[in-house]
Amino acid sequence: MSAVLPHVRFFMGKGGVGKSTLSALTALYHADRGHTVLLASFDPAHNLGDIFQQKLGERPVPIVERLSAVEVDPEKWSREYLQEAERQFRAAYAYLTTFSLEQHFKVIRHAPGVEAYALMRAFDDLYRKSNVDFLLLDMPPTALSLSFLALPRLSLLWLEQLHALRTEIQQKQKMISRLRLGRREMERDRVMENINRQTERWRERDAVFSNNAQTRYLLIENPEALSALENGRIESRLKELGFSGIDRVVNKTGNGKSGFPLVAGLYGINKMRAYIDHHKSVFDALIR
Amino acid sequence: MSLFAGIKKFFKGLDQQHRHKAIEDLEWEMHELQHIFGLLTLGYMVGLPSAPLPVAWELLPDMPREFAIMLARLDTAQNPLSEQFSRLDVS
Repeated sequence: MSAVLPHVRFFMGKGGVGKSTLSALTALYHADRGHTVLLASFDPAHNLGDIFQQKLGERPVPIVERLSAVEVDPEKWSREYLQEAERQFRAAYAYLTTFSLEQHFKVIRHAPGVEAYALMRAFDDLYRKSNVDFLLLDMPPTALSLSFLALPRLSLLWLEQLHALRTEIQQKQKMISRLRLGRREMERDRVMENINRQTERWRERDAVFSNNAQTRYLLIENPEALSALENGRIESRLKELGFSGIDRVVNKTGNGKSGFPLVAGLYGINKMRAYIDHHKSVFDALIR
Repeated sequence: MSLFAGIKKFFKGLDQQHRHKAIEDLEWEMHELQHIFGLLTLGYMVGLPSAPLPVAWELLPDMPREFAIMLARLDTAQNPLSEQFSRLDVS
């Protein structure tokens, strides 16, 4: 991971609550206060480009001084991941001529977890290379977001079990070697090395996700029951995963209630800056 | 052959026999553990719940042996009892 670790902000919540608009406003708020910011949309239905009135893509596009934005293409990351896995698989199992690799990969393409892991690779890339103070992520629909966020814990849980099982296998191998040859010499266990390597990498990701001084989850909701109920479920799941940096933010409020009184048609830098200035006290209170 | 040498040879044979049996049992146990390891990592190929796909896939290039075991295991999967009986020398 890079020497300068960005603060990470995940914007989550039910569709239509204003995740993209609030993430864009927050990005501009931080940039105008002297911080470098990269705002990334992980939602396949991107609309950051519409909000900033600029064409965005896979590479960061400068929006204003210190602020860049990117629209991540989950399909592209999935495709690249599958191609890489297929290459490795073919190299390792070239002798398996009867095994239908094509069929195997057709099935795998739609296997659960591929899309979430593709996003994880995109996240790794942004986290390592962006070299900014703040990395803001406008997240996809809840189910995919939670699969993505659960991956480090879930993977570590499995890797721990696989490590224990592999250790038991190694112990049996040692005993056999001692009984047969009277010595304990062991071959290098590539599988165990692989498990250890993966564990280290997933731990790094888990450390980023669970460090509440570095990472926060902004659960956006509107003053109505459905989005609040969904955020309640998201909050419970995040807590189950051991993440504590959770802020529930109400958007589209009225009558002076705490939250963002966001209005329709808020796009373009000038309108956004005017909005931030007008509601400065709300931003100062709710945005960390 | 002296009586002492005969006794020594007898115990040596006994030791070898037990050693052979112990190795055989340990190998069987180890193979079973390897099969479980194979199922936990490659089970998704046959519709079993297994490790998250990214974890399993990254392990795959380093486990050709387990992969071969899993393919071979398919041959005996239909008749696990006969394998047990043959290991226990029951005919």
